[in-house]
Amino acid sequence: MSLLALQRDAWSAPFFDAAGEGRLLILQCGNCQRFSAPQARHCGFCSSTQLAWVESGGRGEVITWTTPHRRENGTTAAAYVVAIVQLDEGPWMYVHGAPDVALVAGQRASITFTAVADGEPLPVLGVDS
Amino acid sequence: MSAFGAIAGLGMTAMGKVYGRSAEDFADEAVTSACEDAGLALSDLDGLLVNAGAMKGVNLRLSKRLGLRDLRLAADVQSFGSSAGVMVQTACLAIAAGMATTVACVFADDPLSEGVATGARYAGKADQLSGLGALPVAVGLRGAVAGYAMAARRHMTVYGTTSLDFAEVAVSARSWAVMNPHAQMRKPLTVDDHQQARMIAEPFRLFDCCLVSNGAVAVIVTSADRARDLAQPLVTITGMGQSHPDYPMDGRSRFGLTTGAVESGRQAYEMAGVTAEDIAFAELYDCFTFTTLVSAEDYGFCAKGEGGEFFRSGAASPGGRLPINTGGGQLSGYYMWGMTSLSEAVMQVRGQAGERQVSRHDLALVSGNGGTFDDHSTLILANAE
Repeated sequence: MSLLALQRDAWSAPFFDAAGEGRLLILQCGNCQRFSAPQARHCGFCSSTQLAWVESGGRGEVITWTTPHRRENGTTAAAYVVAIVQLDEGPWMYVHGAPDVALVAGQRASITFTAVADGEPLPVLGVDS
Repeated sequence: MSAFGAIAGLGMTAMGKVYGRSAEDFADEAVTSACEDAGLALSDLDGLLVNAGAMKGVNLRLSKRLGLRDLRLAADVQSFGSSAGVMVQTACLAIAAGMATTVACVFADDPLSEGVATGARYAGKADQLSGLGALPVAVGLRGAVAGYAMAARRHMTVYGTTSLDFAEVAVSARSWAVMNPHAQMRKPLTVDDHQQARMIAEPFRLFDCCLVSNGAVAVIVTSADRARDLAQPLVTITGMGQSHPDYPMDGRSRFGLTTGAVESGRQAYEMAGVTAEDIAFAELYDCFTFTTLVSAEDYGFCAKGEGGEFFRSGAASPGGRLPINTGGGQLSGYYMWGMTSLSEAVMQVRGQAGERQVSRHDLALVSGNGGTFDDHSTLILANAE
């Protein structure tokens, strides 16, 4: 299985509640108003802890990616893609992609969520054709 | 140029697929032989710094096993791949402050088990993933290869670096390793071999990735004054630096483009009163081919984005103008984290590197790199004060 079950903790509960409804939350600083990635505990710009969950548009561009391979019949095959997407609001998100997705830097992309057995929904990559 | 300390002793165990011995067994042998190498007794040590590798199999209990008494400095150090440099720097600072006179710094690890896949040993028992900090792992960012592959991919997309550039790094490292009796991989390697090897995580193929080794390496750090009267040719530490950049998780991040080597190198050059042009040879931390390439750029050995061309020119290979990773590094030599770079630099500065000895060995740069470009250390070594 290329996605692993991830459990929520107190901090991530609002994030995963929204993810279950297909919405991507990021953090906005109450002090400088700038956006931080969901795992931030201090604002990435001014270090304030006055962070509030806000909804992201869920769109951005591909910064970089890798395609891990698995061994198969004496050779290897692409297992899946993991990519960093820079949201239009600024923060970076790690997302999961299908093994056959063809990527170039700067490619427009969207983030949606997929259900995972025994865990929270996880972000997956969609690319504009 | 004044010295902040000296490396008076070097101890190395057998490294690689060496089974049936624990990390503590290896560490004991490395420290004991480093003392012998320096012409010191274990009882001369008044400091011990220990860096455990991936298996976390060694710690300060080592001092009891070695019978060390009345130490004035003792610590487990964990700055990941930058730890060797961090330990030597910490020892130098303690010596300069008068807290200690003779400090052993040791790395030891035992990830290889006969008949057990290394990946399984490294992965260990799967922990339950919890919270947003674990989200990258949950979506597929597992193990060091994937993280470095993403860094490399970004460099490729911005600077036009290619897999053929990475091949040049691997081939250069191997061309040194064939001359190194300590090296695990001594069969010549071609660009074609690199390109045909199996894919691990795009863009990295097998020979883009470092080895895995059991073993230990230790060094003895003391003052330059004291080292001059000991058994080995003088190896002084004239420049030191660290950088722990913590890339922001947003558009400001230079992840994959520049590394901690920029700032760590700047500090070390300034302290030593030298520039990149003065360096005779460099031992760069090489967990992956890309790490060597981007480090060479960041230390100013070539322009940003021209790392591939630099290695293709042969500059870093035997006979080149700036020999790099003259023992084969961790790609082809042995995987002792930052002790790989440091041990080779010590042998070269002393003039004891045998067939692979570089002709100019008066000034060396040694790097360490840990995490996914999170932690960086630099040492500049010289053969005089």
